[in-house]
Amino acid sequence: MNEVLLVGASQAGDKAAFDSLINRYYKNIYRFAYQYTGNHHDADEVCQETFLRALNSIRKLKDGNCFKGWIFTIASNLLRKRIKESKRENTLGTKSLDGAAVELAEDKNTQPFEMLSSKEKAMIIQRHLQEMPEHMRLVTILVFMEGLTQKDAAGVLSCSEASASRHLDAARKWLRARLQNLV
Amino acid sequence: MNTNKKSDNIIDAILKDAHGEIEPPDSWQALRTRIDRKINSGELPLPQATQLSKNVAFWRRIALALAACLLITLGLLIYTIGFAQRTKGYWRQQLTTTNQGLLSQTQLNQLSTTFSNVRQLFGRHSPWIVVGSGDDAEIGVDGQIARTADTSKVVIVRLVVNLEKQNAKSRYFDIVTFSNQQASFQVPFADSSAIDISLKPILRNDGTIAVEINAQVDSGSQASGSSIVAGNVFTSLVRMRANGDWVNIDAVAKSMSNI
Repeated sequence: MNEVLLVGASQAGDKAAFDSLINRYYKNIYRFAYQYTGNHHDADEVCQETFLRALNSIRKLKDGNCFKGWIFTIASNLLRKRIKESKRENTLGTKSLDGAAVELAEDKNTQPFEMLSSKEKAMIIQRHLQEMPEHMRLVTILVFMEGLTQKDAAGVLSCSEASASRHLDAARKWLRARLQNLV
Repeated sequence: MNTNKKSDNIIDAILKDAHGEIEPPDSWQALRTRIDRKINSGELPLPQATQLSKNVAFWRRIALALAACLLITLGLLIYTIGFAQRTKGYWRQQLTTTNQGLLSQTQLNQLSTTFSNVRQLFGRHSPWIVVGSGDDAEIGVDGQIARTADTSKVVIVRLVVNLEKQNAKSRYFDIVTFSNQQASFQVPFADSSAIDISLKPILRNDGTIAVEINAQVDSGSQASGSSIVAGNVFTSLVRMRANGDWVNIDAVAKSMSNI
């Protein structure tokens, strides 16, 4: 079913339509949250909260075509809020990679990528992402990993398209500098 | 450039693959169930409740803004009062500095009594006292029998020694002595120099006070004069050169009650 129709039906109170929207995006939101926070617990909670908030405010969404950007915006806002709170409480930071992942990433960090399994690659990438400055990290996840356009990513990040483009360029250079010797 | 492009393509592919590998520790199905449970439990407030909480938030913001305004006003008020106090304090300090060490009316009254006692002790020798604003004070008894001193009249002379130089502060001295009695003291000032001053106040029959003064800088330049001085406005006694600068010595004088 067309996404615009699903959004319209959800706005009319069709629970099944909203379920379909969840099914389309919950994995993306979870991955986005995990890449951003670096831990499964926060990613899980943010993912649940995102869809709950989406359900409560889907009537405010004017253009059904923008659902993807809109849901990522909700998630992004929740993540930023969570990171801000965790920084204040100093209990969790953006560098809170799960322990096992850190160990594995450190062990495998010097081996060429082709020799690693997909999971190992994922952990190394995750580790590098956690070291990336926040503005570059967000745009990298949204554009390179989630496939959003620069315009949509700029919308999610509440910045201009030019800024998003600059962040992307910087992110590219940053990734090249760190991963080039591995690829 | 081509190498970069190639690297970028590889990195993009790796990023996408790595991203695709992320999954919850249990399973996607378990996460999906948790999302459903969360939505069904409706932990977020209902739209009406959200609206209500928005109203609450709005009024809370207004209250916070008002509190902030109040705080700022209070701060400004405190600052203004504090500034005024500080300014007042500054002038008070100035005043204290210029009058530091000078005698109050109570002290002068006490001195009158003391002088009376001293006169009884020393007979025809007469005491005098000089109190300066620089924490200096001299007290003496006339070394010779002061035939001229009118031992029933005590005179207070307040001198101001003013060096005509930038940032130079005026120095004040209270000289308490009997009428017709000479008091000699030294006024130190910059560059270890000092002015030796000999001063004799004379209470005249008409109630006015004449002051005879002789001032000498480091045994060098000298000035002397005699002037009738007022009781409430400084009258110039002498003006002289001291180490290239002009020094003015002015005075006011009053007679104390008879003793």
